[in-house]
Amino acid sequence: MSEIITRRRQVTEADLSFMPASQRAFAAKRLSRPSLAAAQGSINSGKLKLKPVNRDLVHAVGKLIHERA
Amino acid sequence: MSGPDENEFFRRFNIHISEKVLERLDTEEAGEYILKAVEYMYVGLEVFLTFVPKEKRDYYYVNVSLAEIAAEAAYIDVFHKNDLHDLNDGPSTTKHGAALAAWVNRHHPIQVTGDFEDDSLAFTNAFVALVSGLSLMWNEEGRVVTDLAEIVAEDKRIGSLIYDLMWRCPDYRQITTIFSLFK
Repeated sequence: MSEIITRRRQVTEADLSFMPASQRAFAAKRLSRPSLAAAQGSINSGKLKLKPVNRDLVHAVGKLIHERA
Repeated sequence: MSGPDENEFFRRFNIHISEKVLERLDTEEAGEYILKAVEYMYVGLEVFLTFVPKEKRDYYYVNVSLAEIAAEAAYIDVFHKNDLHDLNDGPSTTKHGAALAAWVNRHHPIQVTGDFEDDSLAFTNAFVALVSGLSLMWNEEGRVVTDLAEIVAEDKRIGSLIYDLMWRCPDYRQITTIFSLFK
């Protein structure tokens, strides 16, 4: 989970530097949403309601769909 | 376009978001759901890239804003019934998966960068949507990898699902009906 949050931060910081000033303000507002900050805190402390992403399952589903499609 | 009101045009589209919805989106529960859903999109893209030639993989990325908007929409679809009824059990796992698949497919959070042409482009978001939705549903049900072959067996519906997502853009209620067949 920490990987996704780090990647998310990297992507958004890079995005912001290329944005026009007006859009940057909008994006910054989205990123500073209290719900996301609070959720990151609870994810770090390990109390989540949704089950952690099972990467093996996702890869298996992808392989299955690729075979059937 | 310039001047202080240059975003006025875009701001008008926010009118349809009610105060109640915004309140729901500001809860910690919503934040958890959004981050989790976005992670499914990342892993979905990772899976898609395993079927793409190596030299083409760098072109694909997840647009975080679109991913979050899709996750927000899915969250509202899944949980809006709590405003009408007291559902102690919460929404079903099928609805979880279907809402994510529907909104990922609609908002296309997987984007490509640069001058890039490939036949698989039209297929990308439909594939990631289906992978994210089915994975979320089966993961919440506690299914494991070995169950999957049994669930779909010789089923041909997955192929037609991809077709529907690409060309028919079904909403989450329609996908819920189909996903319930994969129980």
